[in-house]
Amino acid sequence: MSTKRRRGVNWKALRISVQVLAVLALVVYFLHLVYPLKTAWRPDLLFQLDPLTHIYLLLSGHGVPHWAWALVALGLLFVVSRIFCGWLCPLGALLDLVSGVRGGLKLLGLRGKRPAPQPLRHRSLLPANLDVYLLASLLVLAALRQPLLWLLDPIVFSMKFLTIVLLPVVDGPLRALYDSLDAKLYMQDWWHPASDAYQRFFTAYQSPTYADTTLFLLFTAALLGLEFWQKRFWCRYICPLGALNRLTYMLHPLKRRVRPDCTFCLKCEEVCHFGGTAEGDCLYCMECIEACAPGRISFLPGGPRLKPARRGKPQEETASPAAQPASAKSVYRERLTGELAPQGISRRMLLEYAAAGAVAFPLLRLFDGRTELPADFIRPPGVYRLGGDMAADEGRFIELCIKCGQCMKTCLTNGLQPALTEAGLSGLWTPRLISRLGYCEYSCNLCGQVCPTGAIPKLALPEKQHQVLGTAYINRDKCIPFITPHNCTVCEEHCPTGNKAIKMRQAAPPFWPAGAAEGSEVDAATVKPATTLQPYVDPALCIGCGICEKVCPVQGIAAIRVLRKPPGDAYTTVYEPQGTAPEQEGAASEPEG
Amino acid sequence: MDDRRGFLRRLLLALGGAGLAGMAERMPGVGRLAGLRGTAEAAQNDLTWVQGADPYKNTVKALAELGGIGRFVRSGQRVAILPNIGWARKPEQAGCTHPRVVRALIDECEKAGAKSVTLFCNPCNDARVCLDLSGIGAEVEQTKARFEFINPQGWVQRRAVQGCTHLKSTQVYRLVTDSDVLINAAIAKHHGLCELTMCCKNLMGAIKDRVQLHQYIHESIADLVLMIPSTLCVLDATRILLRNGPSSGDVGDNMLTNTVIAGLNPAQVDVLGTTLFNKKPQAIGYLKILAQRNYIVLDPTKLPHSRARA
Repeated sequence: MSTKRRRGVNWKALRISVQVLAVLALVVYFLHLVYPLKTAWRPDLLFQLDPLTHIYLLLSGHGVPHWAWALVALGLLFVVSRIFCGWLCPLGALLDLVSGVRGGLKLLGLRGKRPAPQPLRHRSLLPANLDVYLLASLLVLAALRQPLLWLLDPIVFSMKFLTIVLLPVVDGPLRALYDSLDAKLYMQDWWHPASDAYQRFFTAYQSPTYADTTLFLLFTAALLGLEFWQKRFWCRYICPLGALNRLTYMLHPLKRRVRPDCTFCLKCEEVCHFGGTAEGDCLYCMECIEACAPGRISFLPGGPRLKPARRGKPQEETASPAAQPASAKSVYRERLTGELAPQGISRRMLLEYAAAGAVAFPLLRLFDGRTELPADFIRPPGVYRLGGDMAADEGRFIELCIKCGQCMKTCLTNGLQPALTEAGLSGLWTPRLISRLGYCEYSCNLCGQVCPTGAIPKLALPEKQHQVLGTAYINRDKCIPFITPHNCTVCEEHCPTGNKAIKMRQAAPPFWPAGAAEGSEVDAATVKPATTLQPYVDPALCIGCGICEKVCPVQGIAAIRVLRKPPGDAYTTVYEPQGTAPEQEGAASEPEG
Repeated sequence: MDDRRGFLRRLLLALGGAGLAGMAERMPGVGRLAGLRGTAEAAQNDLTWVQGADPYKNTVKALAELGGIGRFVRSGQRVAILPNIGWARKPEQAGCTHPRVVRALIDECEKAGAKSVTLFCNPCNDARVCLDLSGIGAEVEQTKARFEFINPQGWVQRRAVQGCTHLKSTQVYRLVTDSDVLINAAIAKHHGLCELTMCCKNLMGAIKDRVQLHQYIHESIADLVLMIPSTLCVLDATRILLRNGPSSGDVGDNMLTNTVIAGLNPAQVDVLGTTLFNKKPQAIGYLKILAQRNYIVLDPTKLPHSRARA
């Protein structure tokens, strides 16, 4: 008889273990994105394994930088296929965790009864295979070099989530714990290895902070909230990587096979972890093997199986929809054999969505909202090529940047921050340098090394040290030696270029009334009240690294700022014009207008 | 007319006073401070100038000239070394203390039986890059010593002491307070604001709000010298930076002088250090202030010190 017991594999425990291991591997990879970036693997390995990276680069005509990796990634797509979604995807694991929370709420009686069988509910709302259609739109957009795809890639999302949400959040309490321990133990030898490991990998010697993360938090909340509506909604209807996996599922030797003597008892439907017993929806939770007592479900190739009907030949039962309301049984049968199966991908829908992508392109452009970039909007080193067309380089950067956030994670000083819409909607969450938070270290080129697409070019250190990010401008209404009788020189001290881009000259403070210092408490022996050491910038030497802005002792907005172009009207009267070093103090009180 | 009771009271007071003084002497901070105060009339072996091709040997020789490391570090003590690791510069750029000088200090301290040797510095560039480029990180790795990255919560309020004129208090790093021995291992460099940076200015690496002190730099440095007493001061002048200090970056800005100056009083070491640059100590604001406070002898020619070759 066919009622023999199945092998006692606890698929659920096994799957969860693999998921945990996969997430841990990702966390190890993520935590190694710190200086000095000495890893046994490529620092951008994760995205070299993401087939979407290569597909996007190919379609957008930017070329695949590593053909070998492209082949590996595409090969994996066929080998791992849908198994990735259920067992390896970090976003999938996160969604399962949310599901777990939802289950817990249910146990506590906070969320009422179990909802009606999901397939019946969602069937009428969204077209099956929606993710494939959406992928068609996104790929058309990619061919037109519109990077919308990258808002939806689960790998990109995971990396960004770890970088700008999870690590800063986890680090708060961890840091408090560490500090309380460290204050007591820092002289103990046994404490040092733990302390150094924590500092090196977790905080990278500073607690990571990111500005403007609210929008990303809302995005995350929406994405995770979908899980409360339906299990793995994201994975089945939106995820572009899931869509690729759905497509390769058809060619995969291991797949869910139901023997033709299935009685449609729906037991498998009840246990299905992801609520997706239709072909291509299966995420390999394997829990239905156990549930099917007669053992009619197998994931191994061979043997007879319930075959989907060929397109255009609907089953007799579903041919008369008006006669009877769809029962769960009939829906199940239809999903195994009818139009909801992946074979049911509608060519017409595919074309429609592809066309929608083409239509969306000009619209996205129209509503992109990209105007001229703010003057203090600084891109990572090498993005704007020396002597190149800045607008063209910015365009190229937007097309190439996949917004994975690896550069922000790796940035030595935490200065690389996610942009909002300063560079347009398509520039959302691309990296920008906010010098007041962290400068671009002269002897560091890590961001280029971790960038998987070459949006930030890989530059050798000497080459990187000549990249110009912007130019420093001095606000003489704030700069200390201009408005007080005191010297400062902090910016000049820190200026990293061999021939200092910031130079000092001795002059009377233009905004300090002559003779006012006589009666002050300044020690006349050490500070000369008549003149002060005042900084000026040689724009031919300045590379705009921003360390001057970072260290400027003036409170609030620094008195020296790195800008990409001469400041606009708000600053004209207070910033010193480029390159001019006013010789006469008298003239300085009347800045250029 | 003395009675017995009064006599006993005076006797007890005297004994108590002697006991307190004895305890105070054993307290490391106070002991160091008292030692420093005494150096205004520096003895011959409180200051030394050693020249030689090898910075490591120079340092060892300088310590020998001062009476050996045993004079400063006793067995079982915790040593904190404050080198200048402030800049992401290579040794040939003369931005940081020479790694071999630092190594010599670590080795000597370990030889003296120090319980622990910890290096620290509040750097201007990122600490990791500074450690790597300066070569100090590699040297530290070969020893049992350890570099402590500044913990932003590790600052301790330290009040001004008698004689300070500008600072009321400042935040110093906990290793200054908690170590038995503080070794100030500076490099001699030009400095755009205070002319020269040597052992006195190096103390800026031990405090938190350094940048905010630049507006009264000379007064602040003079106060810091009083507030952060060092057990031993070593001035690395293997390469001295002549221009574009303190960070420079241009190899052409420095000069090979192959010298190590060591002493007990940081300001006195600096006075001797000014002669490397052919400058007058009077021209250095903070040295002038310290001389006004009768803390140092400002004339290098009148300064008793030993000279040796290694």
